[in-house]
Amino acid sequence: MERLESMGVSRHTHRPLMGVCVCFVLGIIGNEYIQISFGVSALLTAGLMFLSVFIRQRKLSVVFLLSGITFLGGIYSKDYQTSPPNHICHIFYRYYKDPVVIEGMVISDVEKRSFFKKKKTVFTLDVKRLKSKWGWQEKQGRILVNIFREEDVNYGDYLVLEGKLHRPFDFSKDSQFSYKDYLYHKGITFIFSIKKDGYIEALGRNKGNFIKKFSFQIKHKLTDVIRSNLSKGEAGIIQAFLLGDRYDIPKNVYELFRLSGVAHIIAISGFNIGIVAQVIFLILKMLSIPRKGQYVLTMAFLIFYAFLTGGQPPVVRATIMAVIFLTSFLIEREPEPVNTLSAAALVLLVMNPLNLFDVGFQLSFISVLSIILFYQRFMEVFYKWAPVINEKQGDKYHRKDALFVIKFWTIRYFFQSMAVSLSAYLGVFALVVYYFQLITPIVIIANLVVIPLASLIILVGMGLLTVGVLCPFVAAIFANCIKLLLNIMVVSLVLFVQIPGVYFKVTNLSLPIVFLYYLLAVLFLYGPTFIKPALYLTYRKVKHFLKIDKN
Amino acid sequence: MFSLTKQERTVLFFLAWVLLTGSCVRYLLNKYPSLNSIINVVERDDVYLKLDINKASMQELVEIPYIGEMTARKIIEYREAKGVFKDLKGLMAVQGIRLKSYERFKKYLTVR
Repeated sequence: MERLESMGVSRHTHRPLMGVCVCFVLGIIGNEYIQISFGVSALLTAGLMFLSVFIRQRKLSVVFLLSGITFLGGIYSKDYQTSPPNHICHIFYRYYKDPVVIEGMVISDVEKRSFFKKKKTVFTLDVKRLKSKWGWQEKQGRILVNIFREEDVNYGDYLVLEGKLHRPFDFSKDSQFSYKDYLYHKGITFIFSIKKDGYIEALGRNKGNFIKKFSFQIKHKLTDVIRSNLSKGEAGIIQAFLLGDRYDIPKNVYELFRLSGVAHIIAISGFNIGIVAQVIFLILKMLSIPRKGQYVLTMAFLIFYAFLTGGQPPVVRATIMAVIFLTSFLIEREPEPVNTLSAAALVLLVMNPLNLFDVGFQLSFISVLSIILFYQRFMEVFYKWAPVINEKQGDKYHRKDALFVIKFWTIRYFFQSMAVSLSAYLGVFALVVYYFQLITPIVIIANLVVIPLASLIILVGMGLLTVGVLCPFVAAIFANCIKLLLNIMVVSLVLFVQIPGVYFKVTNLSLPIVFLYYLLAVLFLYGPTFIKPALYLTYRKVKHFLKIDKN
Repeated sequence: MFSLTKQERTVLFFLAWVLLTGSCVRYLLNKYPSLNSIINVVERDDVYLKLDINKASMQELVEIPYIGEMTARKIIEYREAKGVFKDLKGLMAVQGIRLKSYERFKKYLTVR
């Protein structure tokens, strides 16, 4: 083993959850493309599990156990997608084009979106009953409700609604993104549209989960703070940055973010969660709270923030990872990044196996994995170009004068940001081209400008939200600061997009090519690890054989 | 009394920086209201990425809000039959484009 390590082959890190996660994911994918009956899969899973217990050979036992977990992924996904006979999706065709009366509870935040200079009210309804020719029938399932007017509806309201059921449309023909699939992965198969004069009555109020209700109330209060201190367009962008509501971003500004490849900034993800966690931790450090209490309070706040921002997969991923990292400090164990990422993926897939097909889920996990795997490799290349930024070099290059410190920080920031951007871009490249049919090489440079500005905006934005609630008269100062930073960011994006060749559109990238890209990436990463020892062992066997032959 | 921890210094520096920048921006905007239109880039119409109507492909036109497949096809057919548009108002001559819809999408288009 030491000989192998001297050849550049590292010892294997213990990542038990990685294998479990990969097998579970393979099971879910398999269920989508291969038809195996539920009973056969269940029997195979049980059989493989039992075999893994009874077999004494460790490696074989692990193979059986992981194979069992693969089938389990398929079973779990199949079970999740099976709906009971009284599910709303089974009655659709009977009521097609006819108005329907439905009773149910609002289970999501209620959004008031702009709609052709007017407003529409959008929310998810958990259906309880449906009125038909034969009277009321018990039903279940979720539908997305669109009311084409502003309506006083809140989370937890029990409503009676009259409108029409229809299937979701696929708006964009030129990309792989499907709105219909997006809703299906969230458990919504139909949209219920209510006209301007449609009938709505609230039979009950405040029936939902207390924590969810509380988080939505806080969210509305914070939205009011943002809207009352910033212009409409600016408020739309800040809402996306801080609260995860992207529906009010001006289309032209969103297009700038998209074409310069930095649209990830306006979706709440690990970047935002990281800044929020650091701020909370910093404030808690100033208070006389014991270290363990600081970790627990930070975790509690992050979980609440995930609720507040609607619990999208990237937010939940980042929150789970942060919670695992903080817990590892609590129990004094060193966290392993890939294992932590796998744990987050498993939690999200157990919550909803169809999350696997969510674009946000895929981009979020692949970018983080890519940063974990490639960042250090890029930094090693950069250390050769600028040895001064290598902390391992100790005091060899380090001086203490101010000019040197500024130069050191600037160069280090530049190379570290480049390494993060390149690693993430390598990871998401094929998926971005497949889903959005867009190549944006400018993102590597744009990130250098946009990320520090976005970090400042989030920091000042958190200040605005706190001050806006506690002492509103100071909020205007924070708002002016955000206004300046936000407009600098938009101007820099406008300038980036003007450069010829910063983005180009690609068509028809097929799924096999995407798989091939990731296969090559895996080979590039792990090829040397497996090929080197294999070659070394073959060489030793041949040498041994030749020796025997000579003797 | 005057000894501050690293965290306290960081938070104080940040708050002071926000107050300074916010006050400066507010002062300048109040003193010179014309600056509002310069600083408020997000709300300005010229931030829109404008598509050259004489070079735009079918796919690019369909991506523009309020332009559907039918309208895009008619614009391209008109361009091929009658030559390039001299100005944006020339779009009104395309069959099916009325003043109301033209007003909606004209900010996304240009003639170069």
